[in-house]
Amino acid sequence: MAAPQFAEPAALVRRGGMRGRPRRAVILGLAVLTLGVLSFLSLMYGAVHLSPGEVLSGLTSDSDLFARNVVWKIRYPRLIDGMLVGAALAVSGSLLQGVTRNPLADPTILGITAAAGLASAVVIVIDPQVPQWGIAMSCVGGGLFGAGVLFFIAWRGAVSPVRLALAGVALSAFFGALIVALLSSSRTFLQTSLGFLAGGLYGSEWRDFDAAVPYIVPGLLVAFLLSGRLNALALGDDVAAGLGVLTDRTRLAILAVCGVLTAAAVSIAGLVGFVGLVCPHLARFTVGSDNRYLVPVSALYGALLVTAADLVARLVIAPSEIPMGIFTAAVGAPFLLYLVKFRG
Amino acid sequence: MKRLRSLPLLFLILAMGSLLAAGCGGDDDGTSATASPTASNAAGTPTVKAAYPVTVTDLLGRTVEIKAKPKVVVALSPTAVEFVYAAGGTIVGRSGSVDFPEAAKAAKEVGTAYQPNFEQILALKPDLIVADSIIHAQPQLKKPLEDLGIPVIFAGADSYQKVLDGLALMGKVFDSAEVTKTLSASITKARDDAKAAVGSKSVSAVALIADRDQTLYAAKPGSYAGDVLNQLGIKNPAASQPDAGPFPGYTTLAPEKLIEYNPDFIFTITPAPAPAPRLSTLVPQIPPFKGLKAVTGKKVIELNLELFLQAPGPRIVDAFKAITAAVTGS
Repeated sequence: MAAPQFAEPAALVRRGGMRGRPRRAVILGLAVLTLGVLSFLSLMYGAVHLSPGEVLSGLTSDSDLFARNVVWKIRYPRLIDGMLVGAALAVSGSLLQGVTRNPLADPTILGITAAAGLASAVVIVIDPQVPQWGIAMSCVGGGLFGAGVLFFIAWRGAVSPVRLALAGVALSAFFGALIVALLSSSRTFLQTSLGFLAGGLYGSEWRDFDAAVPYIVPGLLVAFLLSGRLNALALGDDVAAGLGVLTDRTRLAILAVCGVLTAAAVSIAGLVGFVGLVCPHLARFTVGSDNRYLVPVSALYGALLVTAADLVARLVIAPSEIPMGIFTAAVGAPFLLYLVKFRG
Repeated sequence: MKRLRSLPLLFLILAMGSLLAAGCGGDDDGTSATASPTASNAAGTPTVKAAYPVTVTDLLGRTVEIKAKPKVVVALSPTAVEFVYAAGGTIVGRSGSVDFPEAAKAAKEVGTAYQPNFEQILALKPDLIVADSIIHAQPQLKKPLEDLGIPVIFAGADSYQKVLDGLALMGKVFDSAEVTKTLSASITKARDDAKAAVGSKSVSAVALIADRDQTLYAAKPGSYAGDVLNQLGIKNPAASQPDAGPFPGYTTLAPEKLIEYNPDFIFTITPAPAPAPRLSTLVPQIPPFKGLKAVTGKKVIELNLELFLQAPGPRIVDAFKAITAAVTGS
């Protein structure tokens, strides 16, 4: 069987040894700190600027009604929604990169995002007044369907990571084409279709959170639990089987988790690209390729990337805004290029 | 050391848990936050006469209680703005691209009609939001607007009747029913006059818009422009076409269909801003259209974008006049 694909980051872990660990802790600490700072900035800045005091008062009390409304009804839910989207997509990406042993894997490239998006587009076209939980549920159905089709097509007794990636690319193009066909002929989508296609958090609120959380939180927990088995899979099927891991079942479970996480993210923010691709690479760069750390750290970076991108998206041409997904690509792509050129 | 490394994970799980808890608590706090201002408003109303509080049914069929005469109003589409002014109100905030009435231009812009900025709306501390029942009916816009904790009514127009309905609604909201009734009566009269002038001519006409790819779309009676033609008794050969294409109330019009219809008049609306050529100059240049009655008779007429597409509303009187002038040649 093929050797693990990520030989070099693994070597980095070893090379780092005892000296590497505190450095990693520092980087992670910085990431957490940055996320905290960005979160607070997200609550302060937008079309209307609030002082830190107003933000705190808006978070904790009703005394300043304006601050309360802006912070609690608009910005805070949007911030949390964004973090969930980022974490879900990044974890999904890290699992997919592990299970396909392909550094290019990501929910967008493998067609899971498009499958979930197609399901949501169909439901909205059929009934424009569909409640958010209905959209989330249909997205998850679509995501699981996409993951299932991927599994079915790529499996021929055993999976070939290459086949999985090829099937994913084809499915992505197919579902993507159906979405565009639907949007270009639909009446309900006209105004919001750009935000949906590029991915954005405009107007996202507690309702979206309530609808997506029942999928994302359990999904993340299962993903963290499965990440250990992903390490065994990385050693090749024979070794993994030798270690007592049921390889096909594990792959199916991981793909299902990816389907659920990606779909829940799509239900909030539409077709956000690049988060699932770039964040696992950033995480690998920081903590190495041990999936038990890689997966949760990807979640952290995903939340960070989406929070930063959304802050920029809201500020650049305020009071209008640009779809956030454009900035996840604008920030993510150069960084990935850097990693490819100088670290890969 | 291992423990140290699992700290971020622990943090993440804790953070998720606390955010979840915060999210669950959110709704309760939200409702209490909205409850307090209404209470204080109610306390301040005794000075106002019996007109308030008034309960109205907006054009989406929602019932909304207006506690006192709205003084700080944000209107989220050109139509909503015109409705407010027609009822004697004024606005402090508006969507972009509002050109009428002149007084409304000074109001602060709060995003576009299709992407209102909720924070800026709140910053103006309005006591009423007038949203558009056509544009903002979709849940992605309607629900966030309703959740702002400010009374919001939806009023828009895609037909003559909706203009009258909208005016009646705004008359109740602003306690100016006399004003809006007078206006409605004059609109009805303008419609009747125009119908009398145009109807006797027994003409056929289509109203066309084109998208960026120069695909033509014809207005059906379900659209505002189509209804204006319909109200005046103008025969619209595209009326029986099935809805097709992305614009509600419009149907994709194949060039051969237009040739088959060969209408007396072709009205055109060009959504693209000024440097772009008007559709009325493009249509006569398209070779297969050169033999059309409307083209040879120079009856391809550009309609005002605002009046017929962007700002349906009380100015429907001007829309009737424009069509009448074109058809009667006066």
